[in-house]
Amino acid sequence: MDRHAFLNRDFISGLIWAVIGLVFCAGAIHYGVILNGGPGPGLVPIIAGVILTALGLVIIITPFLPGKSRVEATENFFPEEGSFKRVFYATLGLFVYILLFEFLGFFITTLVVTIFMLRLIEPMKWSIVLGSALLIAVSFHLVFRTVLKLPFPRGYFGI
Amino acid sequence: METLSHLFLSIQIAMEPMNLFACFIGVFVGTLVGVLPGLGSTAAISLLLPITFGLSVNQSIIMLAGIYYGTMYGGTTTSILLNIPGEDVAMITCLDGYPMAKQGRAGAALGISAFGSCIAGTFAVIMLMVFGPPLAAVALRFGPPENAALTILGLTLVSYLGSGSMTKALMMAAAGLLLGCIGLDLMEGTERYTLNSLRLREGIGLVPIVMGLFGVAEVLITIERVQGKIEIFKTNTKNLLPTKQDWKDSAGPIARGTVAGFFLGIIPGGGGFLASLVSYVVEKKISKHPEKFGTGAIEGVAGPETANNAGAGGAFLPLLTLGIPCNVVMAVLVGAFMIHGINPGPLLLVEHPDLFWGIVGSMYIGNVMLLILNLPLISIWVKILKIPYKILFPLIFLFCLVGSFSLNNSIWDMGVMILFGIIGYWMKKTEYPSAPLVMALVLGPMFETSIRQTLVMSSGSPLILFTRPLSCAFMVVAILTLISPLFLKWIGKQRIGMKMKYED
Repeated sequence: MDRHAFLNRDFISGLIWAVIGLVFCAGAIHYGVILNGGPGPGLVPIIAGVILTALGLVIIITPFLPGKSRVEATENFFPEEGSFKRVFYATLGLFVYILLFEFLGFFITTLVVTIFMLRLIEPMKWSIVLGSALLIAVSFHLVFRTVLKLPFPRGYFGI
Repeated sequence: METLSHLFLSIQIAMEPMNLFACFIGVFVGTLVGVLPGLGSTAAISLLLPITFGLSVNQSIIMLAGIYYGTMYGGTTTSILLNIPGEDVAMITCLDGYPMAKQGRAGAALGISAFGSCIAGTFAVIMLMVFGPPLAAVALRFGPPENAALTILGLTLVSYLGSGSMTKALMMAAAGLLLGCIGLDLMEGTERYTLNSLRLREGIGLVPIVMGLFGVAEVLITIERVQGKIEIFKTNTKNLLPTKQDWKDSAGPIARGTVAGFFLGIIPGGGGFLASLVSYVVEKKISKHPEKFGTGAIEGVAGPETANNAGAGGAFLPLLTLGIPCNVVMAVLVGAFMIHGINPGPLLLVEHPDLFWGIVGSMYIGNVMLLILNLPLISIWVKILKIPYKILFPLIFLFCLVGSFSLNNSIWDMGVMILFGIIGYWMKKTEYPSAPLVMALVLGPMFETSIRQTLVMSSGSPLILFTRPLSCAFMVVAILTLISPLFLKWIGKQRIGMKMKYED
């Protein structure tokens, strides 16, 4: 048995989905599949959970069946040098946004995080970064706060 | 006679100034979204959904619908000029549209696409007017078994017709049903999978999930690779009016694409891409010169473009009459309806006829607006394409963040969106489709309510689904759909076995 099969994306993803299905099945049994002689709150979760688990096992087991070959991923998970960094910084930027949003307020948070993303993900000149970030933050402020009057937080600095 | 009066009513409602304005904004934004690669109609509609909160339900749905069929038009421009489809549905147009551009006939390609799309859109609207009311009347007679069987059929077809592995698609449909179970059980009031959280008691919102799966995940996939400068093919985009010969060559494909596209658009999981693919294959098969396809045949542009726009119109029929979304965009529109406290379905015509006819009327007007917008403004759309993606992607993220916050003024929704963005990214890498998950999330409550009512009616026997004629028909089609891949594989093996036997 090729041990690399275990690192195959289908194996890992199938396993994760199968476990998720099992967890929901356990919950479904707890809530009651049949209640007072009729269908209970656990009916649909157990149907869906069984389907998810069973098909997850199919995904896991299929490459090991006789006559079946493991489907190789056509490229690495991160296809280029720098891919992981770009995706990581983008995701980090999103989390930083929600962490700062209520503290710094909508305008400053938008400005700061836009600068972060423009500078770190595909670096550009500081003049372009700062100019674009300011334009974006001001435009969003005008459209969403001034025109649409959405109640975004002003934060500690009241902006 | 009644159809005519409905037509006048629909035009009257659509021509109200604010509805007209909402339609214009929708088709304009839709065309813009269609032109820009990397941002699909699903993401755009979910991003702009919060902006519609201040509008009336008519204006909201008209605007969002306009975005949807507007993207069909916009995606054509990049397909023809850049060989990059702005939308998935415009992929087929690249095959002959781009070669036409290289031959200096971009104008003809763009022109016939625009006119064909307008014809298709108008046909779809007429069909909606003709078939909508009778279908809604039939659907009013559906009971729980019919509704349960219909949702099972819908989910099965979405899994079957989607791209990639059907096994993975069915898994995602199951995952969507499970996500829909988080929160309060509608029938017993039991808290399910809430982990004692007040937030989870309300369930997980559809809009942050869609923004995450289709907005954030799409951007994360795109920024993995350094985006090069887009080279726009310099070609003649003047002379947009097709010649007599162009019309003669395109008339048949437009007619066939219109009819086929509309009916394929109704099928759950069908939609624009399937419609344009089928149209292309059919036109190539029946053409006297099939060798010309792929080298700049105008039939290869006219047919698919018409089909995908007819499909976009057809997709509204099951939504407005049965309450069944047949693709992800329609699923998001269900969310938009529910935000305004309206359940799309057979009662829509009865309780909100102005909404139904207003949407239909606005589609007439929207198609005309799109024809006017797309032809003269092509040079503007081309300039917009020059905006580098490294400037665009933070904008998309910000729209997602702002949009998700404004749903309930809550950081929670932003967090849900980011989480599903990461999950969606991982799903794309491991080739699990997102569409069945969203469809199941939307159809899940309807499915659960109807299946539980069905089992109460039948004292627990699921065979009732097969004893009533309509639900039996739906179930048979669903079962055939599920077993057809195995059946086809078995037939293939038999054929290979017989062939080897013959060769021996």
